[in-house]
Amino acid sequence: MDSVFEELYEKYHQDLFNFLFYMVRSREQAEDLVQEVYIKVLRSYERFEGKSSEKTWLLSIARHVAIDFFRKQKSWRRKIIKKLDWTAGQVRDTQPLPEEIAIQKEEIQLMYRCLGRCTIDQRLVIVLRFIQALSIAETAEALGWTESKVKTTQHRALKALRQHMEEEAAKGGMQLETVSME
Amino acid sequence: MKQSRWSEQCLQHVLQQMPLIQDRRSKEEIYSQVSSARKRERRKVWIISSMASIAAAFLFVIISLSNMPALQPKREHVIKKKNEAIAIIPLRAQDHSQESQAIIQADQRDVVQSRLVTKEELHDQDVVVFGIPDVNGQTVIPVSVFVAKGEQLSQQIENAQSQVMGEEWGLSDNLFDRITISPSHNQKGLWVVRVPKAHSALSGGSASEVMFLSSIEETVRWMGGTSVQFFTENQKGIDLPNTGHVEWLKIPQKKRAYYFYQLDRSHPLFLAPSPKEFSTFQAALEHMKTASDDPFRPSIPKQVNIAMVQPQQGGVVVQFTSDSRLDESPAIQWMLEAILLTAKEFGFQFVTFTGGNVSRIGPYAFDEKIAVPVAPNPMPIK
Repeated sequence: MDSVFEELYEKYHQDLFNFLFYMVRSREQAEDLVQEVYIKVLRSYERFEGKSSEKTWLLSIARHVAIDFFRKQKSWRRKIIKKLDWTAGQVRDTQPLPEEIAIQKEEIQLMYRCLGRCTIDQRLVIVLRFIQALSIAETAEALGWTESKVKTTQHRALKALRQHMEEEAAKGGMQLETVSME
Repeated sequence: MKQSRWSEQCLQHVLQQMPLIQDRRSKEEIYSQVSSARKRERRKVWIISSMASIAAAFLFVIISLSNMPALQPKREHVIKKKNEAIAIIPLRAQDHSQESQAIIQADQRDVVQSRLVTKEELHDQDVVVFGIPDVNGQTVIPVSVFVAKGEQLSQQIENAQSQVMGEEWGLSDNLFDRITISPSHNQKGLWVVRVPKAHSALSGGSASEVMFLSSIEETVRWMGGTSVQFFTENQKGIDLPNTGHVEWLKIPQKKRAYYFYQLDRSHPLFLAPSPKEFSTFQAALEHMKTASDDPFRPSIPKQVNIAMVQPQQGGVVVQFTSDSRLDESPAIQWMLEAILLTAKEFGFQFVTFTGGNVSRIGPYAFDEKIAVPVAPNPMPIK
């Protein structure tokens, strides 16, 4: 087994997988994409100069892989829409909740649904900052953004999430209680 | 007003409780799948590299035989005469055009900001044009940034780079961050693009690589360049994981149509060149009415019909039918600007708009020659 792969796997695999899962919202897709990340990493590992941390470098590659996936998916959706003469609104993500999420309490399930309604940039920041617990500086490094862009996007993302949470709750799909911070 | 039940702190708290989703496969299983994918990839890269070399050779031959439209107005003029003299264009109505009008008109009724840079505006300043990808990396949009006259071109480009705010404008991030673009001192038409090691452009996916190369191509084309030489710091070429080693890029001259692009109502509208080329100005105009491919919107609304396109001494006359609804809305002014830009692509030096029962739309007088613009999409909007 390649020693580079082995080392990266031990140190970062579950983080990478978790990141990709929350981005693409499918275990199967995350499994395929994490492999793609390793292929790219092994191809370019000798070019890694250590200017950024290994973890943020890996996450930046994972981010590109995820964005590529969304582009391909978008093109597929467009073709389907054209072929079937549907409007875009009719092609929706109707996947059931993954089992790991379905067994969680209602706030978590609702948050998972609302995350899916955020833009890709917003989701990137939310997942890195709050689910992966990266700092602003680490998030900026992983995304190739300035820190101020991370802060602005984070602010907008939380605002959007709040709105989605209110809307979902108003639909009455869930009986929600406010999460206590005490 | 009703207070939100979800404070920022509350949202963060829920996010921090999201479960860690683990890959259930073993390390060995993953490694074996990665190894077989890499083997398949090496075979594929070899085949693609061979095909790319053949395609590049063809492209070079085509470019050698073609001419820059801006430098060859007479030859273009003759061709247009053959193809387009007194042509009635039955432009078809499309639902999309109505949709685009709705978005655009609702936005910017008060002040119609020109989406063109004209020669008159350049008396005391210069302009640098950057090709910037849209947010989804589907197309590249040329954006003009004004800079002070009198400085060296490379300094002007550097100054302009610092003013590019892709995301704020509804486009993608600044791809040109830390990349230097400068004209070669030794060879006319050659531009040198220097990329730092570990730049994000070198580690993106295949779509990012295409967008990076397209952005460089668009940028250098507007500077009048004909080829690009890449360097990674001081080493020749750049290594793109999917495309491979790239040292040179030929910049083909193109004849494109201009559509509307606008991310959403809170972002400015841009005139966006079509990814595909058109053989005639007339064909380009027809497509400006029917364009439906994401992310574009038609730039000629469905209530506007073009009766005739007539080349005329280096310029072209565009006549609208008398039943066309030409009003003072932003969409109609921007339609004229999209037509002016398209005319420039086809080597025309001026456009005369006639018909439509109007004498003027915004700054554009009908029945008078209007010079084609210097560049599209001045930013930031004043």
